[in-house]
Amino acid sequence: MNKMILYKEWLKTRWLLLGILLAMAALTFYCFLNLAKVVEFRGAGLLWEALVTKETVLTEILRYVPAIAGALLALGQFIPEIQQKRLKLTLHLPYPQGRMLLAMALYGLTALTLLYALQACASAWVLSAWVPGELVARVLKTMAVWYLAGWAGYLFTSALCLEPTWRFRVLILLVAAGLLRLLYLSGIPEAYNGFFPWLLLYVAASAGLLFAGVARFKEGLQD
Amino acid sequence: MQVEPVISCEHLTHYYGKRKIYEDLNFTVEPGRIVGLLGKNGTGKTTTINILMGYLKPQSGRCTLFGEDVQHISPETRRRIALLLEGHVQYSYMSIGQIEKFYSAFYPKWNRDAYYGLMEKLKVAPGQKIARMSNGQRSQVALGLILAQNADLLVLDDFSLGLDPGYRRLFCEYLRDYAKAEGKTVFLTSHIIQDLEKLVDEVIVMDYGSILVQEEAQTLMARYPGLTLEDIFIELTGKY
Amino acid sequence: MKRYGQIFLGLSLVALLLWVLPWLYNLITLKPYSTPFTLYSCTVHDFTSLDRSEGRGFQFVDTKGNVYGDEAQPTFYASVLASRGTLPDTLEGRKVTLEEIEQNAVIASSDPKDLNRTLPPVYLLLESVPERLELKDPEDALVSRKGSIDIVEMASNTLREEKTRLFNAALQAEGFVYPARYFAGKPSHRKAYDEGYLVTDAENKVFQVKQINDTVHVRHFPHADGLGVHFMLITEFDNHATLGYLVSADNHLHMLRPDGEVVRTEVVFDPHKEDLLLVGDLFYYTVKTSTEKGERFWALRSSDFSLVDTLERPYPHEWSFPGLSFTSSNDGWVKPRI
Repeated sequence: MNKMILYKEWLKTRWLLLGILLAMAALTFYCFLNLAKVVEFRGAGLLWEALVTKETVLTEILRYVPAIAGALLALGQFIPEIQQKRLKLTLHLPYPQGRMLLAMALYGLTALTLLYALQACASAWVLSAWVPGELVARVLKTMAVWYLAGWAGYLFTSALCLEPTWRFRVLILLVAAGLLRLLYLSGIPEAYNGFFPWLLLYVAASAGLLFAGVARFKEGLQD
Repeated sequence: MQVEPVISCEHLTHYYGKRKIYEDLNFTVEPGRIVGLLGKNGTGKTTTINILMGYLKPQSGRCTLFGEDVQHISPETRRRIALLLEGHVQYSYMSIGQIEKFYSAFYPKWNRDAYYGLMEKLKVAPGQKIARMSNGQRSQVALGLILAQNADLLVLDDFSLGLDPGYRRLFCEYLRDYAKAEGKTVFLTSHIIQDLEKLVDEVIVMDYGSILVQEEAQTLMARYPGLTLEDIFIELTGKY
Repeated sequence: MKRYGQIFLGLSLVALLLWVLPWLYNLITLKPYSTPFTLYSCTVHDFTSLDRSEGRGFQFVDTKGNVYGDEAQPTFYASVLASRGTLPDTLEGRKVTLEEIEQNAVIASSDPKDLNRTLPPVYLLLESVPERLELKDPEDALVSRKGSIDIVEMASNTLREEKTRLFNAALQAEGFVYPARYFAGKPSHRKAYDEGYLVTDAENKVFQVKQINDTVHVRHFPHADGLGVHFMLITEFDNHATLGYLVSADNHLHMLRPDGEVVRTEVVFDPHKEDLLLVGDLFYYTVKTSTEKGERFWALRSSDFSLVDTLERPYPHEWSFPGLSFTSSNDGWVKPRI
């Protein structure tokens, strides 16, 4: 049964995931192609100088990609569930409803994590040819917040989809806007190092909004 | 020995805002019966289905399915209930094969032959998405899934919505034959009352706020000789 | 779960309001203000501030309210006065020339935001004695690690093994204890000359590392031992008056001379919380430190850094709406603060 839950999510999202994967790959490739050109014509020292003396991690073009990917995946997973109130079918399946929703959310989060991990590994692999581990780590620690924004984008978009009442959708949207603003507040590398664990906890806690929305759906609350 | 009703609703009251849907509604559905819930638009038919399936919390009152409170139906009990949503809503991004593969994993008593028996009648490519099928074809897929689940209770909300007479007839015939042969309990609503005449054992006629009559269909029709069930319904509820 | 969702959203919205509303209020109501440019004058022998009020033109006012023209700051406006032919040829009882004045003009600054952030342990290494006199782009970089400071060739991202071995041997010979704590330097070729980096080790001892002819030399400053130096600025001024500025554990500013002498000054300055601006000339250094509450000035004699005068100028108090914020002008971190 667990496999079939994942199978259903896979059927909904496989082409979307492929699209996201290709888009992420293309943008990442484009980003590092530009850097490779800089290295070829001006030397890797320029990358070192930028990473050490300027407020950049060289991959800023990828900043919003994880958040957009997260939101898109959530839409791809949950819009089919709310269209024609298809969620009723899902909730009627002879499977604990909480676990069902958890499995669906974990599918999305896992898929995103794999995509982000792929991008991070590719970035680290390419960068490590040019700069030392300390600078690669700096780039990855900075990008970690963008991935957190991706998970947040996924969870809040999912919550928005599953929420049956406009009042709560507005509240969720406001909080989501605030959180995303916070996650993109500073472009200074490693600015979020100390705060990151708390932000991660908060984003994880926001998963509860999905269950709250479904609970309201089950009470028949709607507009 | 008294057999527990499959469906039982007691003192059911619900409002949408200030609008009363019904107050102190009481009814039961005994095992093995095919019961049709009739009423004009807005009398609470879909509301009742939603309450029974746990998608709506009534203002007050209690309903049970197989003795379990509908607000907390266990997965084991849900396995005994086949549900058809209004409009034959399905996972329309799946194909016939994919949806069968999906559902069969949840129902140990899954009857593959019952499903594919109906699917053979559909003239569709095996990989065709349900979304690309006609209303009638989709209703057959829905019917096939319902039958294959081998459930003890079938709940169908307006099963005839969007179907032409041919498909409606097919649906009714299949459903009755299956229910009677397997001793299933069926609880359904439909806005096309003439379909129910040959299908249901018992009718519950709802009016705004209450149940007008709950009676054997044959007994009701005998009380109004010469009238069809539809005529009797209009007689009971008024023309408009 | 409904209740959980309500509590989660409720608390989040409260935090959001505490963040946004005060920010909005302060944005609308708080007025920016500026404080006048203030230097210690070698002619007036007092702090003089540039008065930009209407109708006054270009005037300086001392702490007693006396008004002067730009003769109050002859060293700061030396080239302007010289172009007018009004530059005095004697100041502080000695003959001066424009060239000497210009060569002894120094300026240094620090901002807590530059310190209070996570910095990578990588430092670009210039060649201090370039072939053609002009400083070039660095080819190597220092990478500070737990048990060594490695020298990496940037173009190939490979360790300069022999160079690193010799460098670390030199560090250890001077008593360096790993890991390095703080590096101060200006890795840019847009300067007259390069003095490499001032580095503190794990015991806050002060060293200079400098690349000369592709070899990194190490120099230890024993007079700085025991001060608990936690902040440094490398100076690289035309006059070579100092090698750098050091801040000790008790937040006193010390001057590190090229000969290794460390001179303690009366300037008290916490680099993690205060801005620093030092403007110096042939005769005096004016050191300004500032926080959101106000400014403090010290006038030091350039020859021996002894204290001449002080001035405090609190800012006008303006009430700002307290609330939650996540950034600060004093650091580069995102974290909640009230």
